[in-house]
Amino acid sequence: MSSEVHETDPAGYVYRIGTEEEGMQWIGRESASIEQPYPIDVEHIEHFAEGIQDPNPLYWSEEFGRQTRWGGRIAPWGVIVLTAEHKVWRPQWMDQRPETGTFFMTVPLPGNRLLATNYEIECFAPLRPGDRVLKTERLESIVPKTFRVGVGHQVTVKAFFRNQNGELCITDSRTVFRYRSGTGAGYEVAH
Amino acid sequence: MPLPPVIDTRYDEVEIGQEIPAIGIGPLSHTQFVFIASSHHDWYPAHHDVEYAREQGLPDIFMNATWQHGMFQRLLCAWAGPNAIPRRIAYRMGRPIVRFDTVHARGVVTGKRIENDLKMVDLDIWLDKQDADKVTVGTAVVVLAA
Repeated sequence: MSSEVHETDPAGYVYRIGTEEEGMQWIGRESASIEQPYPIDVEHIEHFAEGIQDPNPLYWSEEFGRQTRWGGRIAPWGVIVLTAEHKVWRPQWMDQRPETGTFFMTVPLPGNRLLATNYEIECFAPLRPGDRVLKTERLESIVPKTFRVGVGHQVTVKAFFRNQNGELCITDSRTVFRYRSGTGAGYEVAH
Repeated sequence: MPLPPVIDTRYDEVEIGQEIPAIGIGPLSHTQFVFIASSHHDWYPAHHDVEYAREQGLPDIFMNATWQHGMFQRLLCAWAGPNAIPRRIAYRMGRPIVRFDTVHARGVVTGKRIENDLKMVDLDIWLDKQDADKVTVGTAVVVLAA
């Protein structure tokens, strides 16, 4: 990493630290198109559906899918998150952990923690087992905010997911509150 | 297990103001939170580490945005049928969904229209939990079977 200021949270995520003014200059930036390391597979689909307890036979049965307009099994839209690297540990991180490759953390801002607040997903064509996924991101907006967890900025990033044929399948617009640890009033602890 | 029949909601059956069948899950155990972290590759510790979540000023570990999206997609697909497609799902998360919560996803039809030969239905959607209504609120657009 360069001489830029970085902070790492207890989870190991690396944040580029800067001022609000520096961050604002990044609005509108787009990332390069990157093929996600893992294609869509049946295990992803079943594992995802299992967590939601979703019995939709489109996710569980190729035979059922053939009776529909889709012609086979499809993936619930959320499976796009499973095409990315796990980012828990990699051999090349033995010396130094790199920045996390998303604008939520690479845009320079004071915050060193994340909390998702808004989510919008659009699907134009479902992904299927075997599909390879290419992703680009665009930094949409940065808005100063204060919530109970702290003081920071709402950062909105829109991601575009295309299949191996270049077809835009899913867009995913997430707004995440990037805040500074220790600056909020907090919640009462749940019991 | 025998395959279920292919049954789709028809556009002419849909009425504005109609509530669609709710779905529920819970109480959500700590194990389920860890399972979701694993099944989404989302190891941000506030989703599985109670001590970390509380240090961050949160009440407990909480369900991530993708899980909530999955609940809405399950709700919409179960109602609309296998040949429909949820075109857009958008929501804002308010109070966090934490351990031992029981969560219901609900929806009500707010509009219907045909655009470019697509039979589209607009809905308000939300998540309730046992002690609070509409902890997550949003809207959806579903394209029904042709």
